[in-house]
Amino acid sequence: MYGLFSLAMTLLAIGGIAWSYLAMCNVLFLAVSLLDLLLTPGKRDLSFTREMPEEMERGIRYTITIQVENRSHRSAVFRMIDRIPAVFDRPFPLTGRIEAENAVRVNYQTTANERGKYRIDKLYVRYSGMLGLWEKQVTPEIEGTIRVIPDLTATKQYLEGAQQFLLYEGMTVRKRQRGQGEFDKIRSYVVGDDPRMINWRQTAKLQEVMTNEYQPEHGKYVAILIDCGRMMGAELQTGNRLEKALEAAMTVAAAALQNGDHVSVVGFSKDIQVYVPPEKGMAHLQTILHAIYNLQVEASESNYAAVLQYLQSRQKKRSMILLFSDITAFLQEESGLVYLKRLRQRHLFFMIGIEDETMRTRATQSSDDVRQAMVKSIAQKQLLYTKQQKTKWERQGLSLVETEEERLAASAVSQYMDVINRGLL
Amino acid sequence: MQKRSYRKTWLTLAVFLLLFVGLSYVMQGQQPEEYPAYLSTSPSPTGTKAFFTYLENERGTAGRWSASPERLPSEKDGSMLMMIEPSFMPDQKEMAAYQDFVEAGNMLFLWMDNPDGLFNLQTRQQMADPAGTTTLNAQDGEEYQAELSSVFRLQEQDTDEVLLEDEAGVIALKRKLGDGELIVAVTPEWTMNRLITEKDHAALLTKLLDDAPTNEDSSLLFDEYVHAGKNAAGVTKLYPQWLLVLVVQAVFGTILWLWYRGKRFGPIDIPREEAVRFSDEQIQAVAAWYQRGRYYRDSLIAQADYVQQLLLERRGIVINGDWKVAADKLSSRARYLPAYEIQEYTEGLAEVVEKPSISKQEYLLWSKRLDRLREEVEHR
Repeated sequence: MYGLFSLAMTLLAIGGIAWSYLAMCNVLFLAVSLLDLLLTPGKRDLSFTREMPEEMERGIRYTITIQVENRSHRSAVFRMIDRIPAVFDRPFPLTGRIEAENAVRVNYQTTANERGKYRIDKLYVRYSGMLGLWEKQVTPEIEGTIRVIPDLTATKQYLEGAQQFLLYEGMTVRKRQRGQGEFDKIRSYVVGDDPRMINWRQTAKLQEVMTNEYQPEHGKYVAILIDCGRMMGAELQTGNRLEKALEAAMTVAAAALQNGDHVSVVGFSKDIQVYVPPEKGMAHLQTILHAIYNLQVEASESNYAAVLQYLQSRQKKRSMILLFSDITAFLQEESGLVYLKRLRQRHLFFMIGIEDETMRTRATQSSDDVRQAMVKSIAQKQLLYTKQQKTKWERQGLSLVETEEERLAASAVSQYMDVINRGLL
Repeated sequence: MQKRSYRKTWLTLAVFLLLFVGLSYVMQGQQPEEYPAYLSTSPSPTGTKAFFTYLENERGTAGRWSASPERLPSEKDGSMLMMIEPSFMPDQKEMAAYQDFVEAGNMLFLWMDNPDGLFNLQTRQQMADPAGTTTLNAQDGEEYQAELSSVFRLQEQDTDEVLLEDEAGVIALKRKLGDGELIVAVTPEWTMNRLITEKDHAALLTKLLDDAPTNEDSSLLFDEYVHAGKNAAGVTKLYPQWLLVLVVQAVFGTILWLWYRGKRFGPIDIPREEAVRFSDEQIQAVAAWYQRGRYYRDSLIAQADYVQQLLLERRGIVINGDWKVAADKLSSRARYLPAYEIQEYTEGLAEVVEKPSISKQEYLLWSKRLDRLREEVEHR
């Protein structure tokens, strides 16, 4: 606006203008702008409230509403920036116009890209009056907390159709094995059923061939260990390793709880961060979710020995222990592995990690300069070492699995299914 | 604890600041006061005041002229105006006034290092004489010794009367303008306190002054007008008004714009990139260390081991460090690499790994060859 005014002054000056006249024009302009400032609504005349969900799922779009109320007799044009953290998508500034003695609702949509608990305390607003020569800035304090929980898409997919979810893994949800598991129900005999399982008493009663069906035993104990150490902070294509591990843990927990098993969860790094004692029933899934949603990657190395010791003192019943961790870090920690040997006398132990895609690319990159060649050779050395260590420990009966990042949940669930179906617990 | 250390830092900083201010004040105080140069009232080492006082006492005619040249007498009364090293170029109007003054039959002395452009004078540049002392030839054939710092020499016209010259060119000349005369010399330094008594400077000055035909009632004026900074042509005369208005408005506009831009609107964010970790950080660090230590051999062995492992896994070829054996086994089933190349690689590799030191070029070459071998094994 002032630029336009200046341009006009300059044009006048080409025609010839006195300096005093110019100064007067400037002062007049200032006076008009001050008048405009005087006529914009006062800072106390505007009030703001925010409506937002208390809980958001990561990666899903939610709507947040801000209500603006104007108690003054004059209208205003406003711009707003909400103080949501940078992990959210921020379609700012929001603009709008509010009439005198009126209220408007401004909506915006946002997606959280990282889990956690966030405090949202402020709203930044700038508004101007009729001419828009001055803008007033207010930052009302609107306190609010938002919980961003892990992406539960995989869990929901599993709960909707377990078999569909595990299709790619080639795993059947319920494998019938003769004489194993507990009696489930009696149903009509179909070709292919084991003739030895025919329930002759019912067949005689109903004049139709009936057969017994069994299902794996339930009420088992599953302990899920989630590593929050330094190595879990490594960036993947979407999110980091801990993010994927949490999603997979939630899916396994859902699967186990649905089957009627007891699930306990431990989050740890240098020491124990979260412990959820074993419990059964789908309601327990919420408890687990609220306990682990705010787990963050720690800067320290994880202490495997401490967590295994802790678990042994808490988990007295024979249980399946599923550790989500980084395989390289895990293998480098000799003390934890030694401790694991003792643990395995009572419990079933499985470790599941995410394949290091970066390392694999580094190991196969071309060697165009010395630095690249060096990085390549170190990556190859590291891969070779991990492979050797893995073979060594697998020979002793430890199960260490590495999968791609998007299939972590599926392979964790199939690991669990396999154990249950084979009745190993 | 933290608070105390902060306070300590601030205290130290304040002490140093005070020390700095105090010291700089003391240092400043010891320096001699600066006086404006070439002013007849200023006791500066340029010596104009001394010259003025001498003329005042000896001739009793010296005066000062600090008004605008337009008010100089325009009738012939034999006035002399002494203009020593003007600090700015007078504008066209003022130049015309000076011209009128001279043409009316008065004298003007101009002592200036480079008077190019004033009164249609022209100069040319000469190589500076390193010795600084030159022999001057006067009009009457006499020789003088003098110090010259100016690298400019006057260009005389046919009507000019050359007063002084040296080998390089004309140093002082007299030019007739209308009824009056203009005496120009490129040597304002002769009147300087430290030089006036050296060589033949005093004699030269008197000689030049004597060239002016003076009578009893003629006055000698020292021009102060050309030294007063406020008389210089201001910006208002140099630039058109519309440009000045634009500048003034732009200054105000910039202040407003800076205020608008400088006021923060919105939160302060820490970029996510600051906290993100990558899984290859460790190997990058180790690689940098290897590179600095020039562990080329270790690096090559690691790469060879990797290929060896791949050969075992993919092709079932056991090497156990003996690469020469691998050539036949590999080349019989190779798909991409020709047999002779495999032969060359495997045999060469055995030798390279045994070498005590490997050069950078060799290292790169063998890294690339191992890449080729690895690709051969990996592609099915």
